[in-house]
Amino acid sequence: MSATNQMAYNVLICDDDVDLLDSLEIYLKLEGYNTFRATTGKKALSIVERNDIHCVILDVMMPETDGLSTTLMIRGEHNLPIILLSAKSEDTDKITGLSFGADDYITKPYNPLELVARVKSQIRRYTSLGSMVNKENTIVTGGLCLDLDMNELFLDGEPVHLTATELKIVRFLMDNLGKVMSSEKIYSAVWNETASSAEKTVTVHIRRIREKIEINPKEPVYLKVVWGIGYKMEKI
Amino acid sequence: MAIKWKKFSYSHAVKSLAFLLTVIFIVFIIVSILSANIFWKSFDIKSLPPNKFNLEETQPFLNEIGVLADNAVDMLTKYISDEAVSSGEAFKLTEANIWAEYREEVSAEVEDRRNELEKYRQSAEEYGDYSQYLDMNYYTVAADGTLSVNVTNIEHVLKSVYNLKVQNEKNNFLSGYERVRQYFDKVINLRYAVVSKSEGTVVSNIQGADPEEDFDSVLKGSYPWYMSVTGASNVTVINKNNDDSVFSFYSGQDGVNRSETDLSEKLLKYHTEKDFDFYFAFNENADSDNCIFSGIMRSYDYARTGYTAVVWLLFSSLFIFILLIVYLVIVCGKDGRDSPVKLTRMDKLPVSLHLIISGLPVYLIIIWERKNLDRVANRLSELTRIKWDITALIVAAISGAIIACIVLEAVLSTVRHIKAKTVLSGSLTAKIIRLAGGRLDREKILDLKKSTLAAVLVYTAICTGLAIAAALSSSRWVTVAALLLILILNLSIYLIFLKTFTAFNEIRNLVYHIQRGEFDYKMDDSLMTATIKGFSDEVVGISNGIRIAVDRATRDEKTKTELITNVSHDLKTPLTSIVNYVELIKREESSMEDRQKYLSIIDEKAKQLKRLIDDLTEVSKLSGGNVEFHPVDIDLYEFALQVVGESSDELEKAKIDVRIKEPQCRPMVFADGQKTWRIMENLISNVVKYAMPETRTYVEVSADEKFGYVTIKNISAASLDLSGDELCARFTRGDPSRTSEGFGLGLSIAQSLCELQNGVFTISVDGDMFKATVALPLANKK
Repeated sequence: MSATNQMAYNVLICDDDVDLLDSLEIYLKLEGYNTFRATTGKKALSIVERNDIHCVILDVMMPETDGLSTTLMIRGEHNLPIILLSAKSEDTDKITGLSFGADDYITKPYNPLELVARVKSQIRRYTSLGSMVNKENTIVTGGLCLDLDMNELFLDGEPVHLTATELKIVRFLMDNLGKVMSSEKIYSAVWNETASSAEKTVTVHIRRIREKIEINPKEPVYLKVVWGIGYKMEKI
Repeated sequence: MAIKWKKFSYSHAVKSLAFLLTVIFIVFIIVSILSANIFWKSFDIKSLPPNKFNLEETQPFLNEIGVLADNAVDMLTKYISDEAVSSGEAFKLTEANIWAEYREEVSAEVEDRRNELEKYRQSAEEYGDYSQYLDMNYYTVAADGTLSVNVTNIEHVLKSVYNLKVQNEKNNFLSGYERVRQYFDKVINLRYAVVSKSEGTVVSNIQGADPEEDFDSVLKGSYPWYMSVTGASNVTVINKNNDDSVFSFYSGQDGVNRSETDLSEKLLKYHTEKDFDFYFAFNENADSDNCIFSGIMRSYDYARTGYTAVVWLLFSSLFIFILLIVYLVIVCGKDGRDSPVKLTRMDKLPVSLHLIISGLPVYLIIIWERKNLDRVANRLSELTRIKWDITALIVAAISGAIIACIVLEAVLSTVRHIKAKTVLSGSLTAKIIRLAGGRLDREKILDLKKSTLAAVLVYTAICTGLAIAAALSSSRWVTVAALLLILILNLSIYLIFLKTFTAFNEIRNLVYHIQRGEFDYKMDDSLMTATIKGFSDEVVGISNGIRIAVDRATRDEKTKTELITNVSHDLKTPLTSIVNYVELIKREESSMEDRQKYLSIIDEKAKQLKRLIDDLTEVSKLSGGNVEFHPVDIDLYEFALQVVGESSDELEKAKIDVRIKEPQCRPMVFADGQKTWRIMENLISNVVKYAMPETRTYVEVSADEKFGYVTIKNISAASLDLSGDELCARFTRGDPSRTSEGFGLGLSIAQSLCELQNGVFTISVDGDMFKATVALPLANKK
């Protein structure tokens, strides 16, 4: 994990389960964040109104105003990152949540360290993204930014250390952002030979890349597998 | 006005009126035909139309001429003259003629008897005594036994006959003379002369007639009609008014009509035998009772006009009748031009029945009339003093009216049926078959087996043929034989029906049992007739199908229930551990070290619980059919690579060396990538748990014509003494001794996911080698 920022950011946690709030608070405080608590959507909204919040963690299943409507209401006024928490793990639920305006979706039970890492990533993106977008000759997706001139990859503003091969793969995939490339294609593009049995190396490399850029390599956000067809770099 | 008329013309009153008029005109037609027939007969009219036939062709005319000739001949030969009659000379002549006749007859009789005797004598030599066959009145037996004709007896017998004759003539002579005298005196429109050339006498009403006179020229121009018999074969009748109709009788030649021949024969006979010449001239138009032919002329004129009138009546009645019939046919059954056809109560009868029922009284009336018309007409005429001809017509008219009413009603009813298109649907056949329910559908009937249809047709044809033979044959034997055959045929068909119905009933029994879930009921197959056999087989097939489905459902239910029972047990196990170790941690005696140990165990168990719950959710989703698959074309080799790639972490940790073999082909399968990954995930985790460490696991991709295959082979750490099926079953049922990780559901999920994509999931065991194969359907080549 990268070093914490100088400034203490404000994180709002909203869940009707108080025990959960308590445990989360501990983790966030350890990381150096200021925490705010809410048990209902209404309360969450009023906190956001009155304070300068940098990230909201929102439970979906809440009485009165549920997480999704709260997301909509917050989104109406603010651009801050919203992470949804839910026991619903279906793809459809995730898609619904993200289309409502959330930036991320984590299913329970979750690894609290992972959650904190995501919070960090979101805040980094939120605060430093502006400076990234203006640069020319870059390919950007979500928090990933590939500087074509410098041939460097940045994740949420922080540089990522990739091997030459890994970088080539990333570049190839980001040149075809959102398109699915088979291992064969990746291999022939990167190694410049016709694929034989060496395609297996592609999967190994993909794994390594994932470990470096994904918060949870098992659940990648950027470098995704499309089963039976190939890999793609998600266009966020 | 036109619209009003149209409405009016459909009204009930007008229709009834038209009906009545039709009956009346039918009666007119009948009456006119009958009258025409009477006129025909009475005058023997040979040709129509009436203005063409000639008086001289009519029988009464010819009869009258015959009477004239007879009287003239009598006058000339029998009565000769007034003086001869008064003096008795005339009668003497007649008497003498009679006695001459007598003598002739006697000699003829004697001659005949003599011939007979001769014949007897000849045959007696051969055959013996024939005396018993002879009328002994005519023979005498001599003393020596010989027979001879008894002339005296013969004379005696005949004499008495002739005496009577003479007596008769005597009585009638004078009255006869009076009659003839009156005939000729009375007549004022006749001029005649009958000349006896041999005698040189003449009978005539011409003043100063002379036998030598040329009567031809005298009489010929005097009256319109002139008739003469002067030659051996020459009878001439001339009608002055009509010069063309010179009408000659030639006896025996030129195809002359019989009546003409009779007259001419009579006249010619007189002419040739007695050498008479006849000259007649008469005027048929004279209107007086004293005119010859007057009666005839009157009745002739009467008949002629009557005939003409009758024929006019006939044709005009026919014309009006046709108009009325057309009107009734158009109008019947409807209340207005565009209103629908209404059937009357009588129309409830099917057309065939109606016609039969109407035909019966008509038939009876006609038969009755044939036998009794004359008798009834006579009685009526006696009672009412109206001429027989007229009463006959009245009776005919009444019965004709009745018949007309019945027939007209029947015809109109049929027309109504035709208009309402109910001829077929209202027919007797239709009514009968409606009793059975259901309906006739032409297409469905044509769907039946051709042999069934043919059998029905053949049966009907045979029955009809036999019935016709029975009815029409004059031979008693044929009738009996045909009826017997019909009886046999019908009996057999009846029995076949019984067989078919019992077969149906048996099938019904089976279905009844199926309904109640009793699948063991076995039908008695021997009852099934040929036509039903296919049907019964299919019902049995359904029953079997249902039984199999029910069995499978029950099995599946059992499996699911067992699964869930086992899973709930599997959940409790780690939970118990957690509870226990938490207790241990709470105890103050536990050291930090121990507590760390306990914590890691709790961590592990918690993770296990999570996995189990996830699996359970998935299983319930799959069994509920709430899973959506989005299959696409997948490169199976690429997929295998990805699987290995994604799982490489775990595999490395378990120290398992995974190799992917070079594929012979690159099959494309049609499957949902995400779901198929789940299958592989399960299998990989199976490998991780159960493969012997430091061993190689092989992943292979292959294909055949239908499926693409991914196979995982590994060496099991523990020995496998079960077959692949048992193992699969064991795992799906969650064998407690092995599920230290609560793994039981994984393979079940994998299998469901595979099968739901039309794939096949198999596990096989060979010694210690464990092989899992996932087969997925090949993608269609476009």
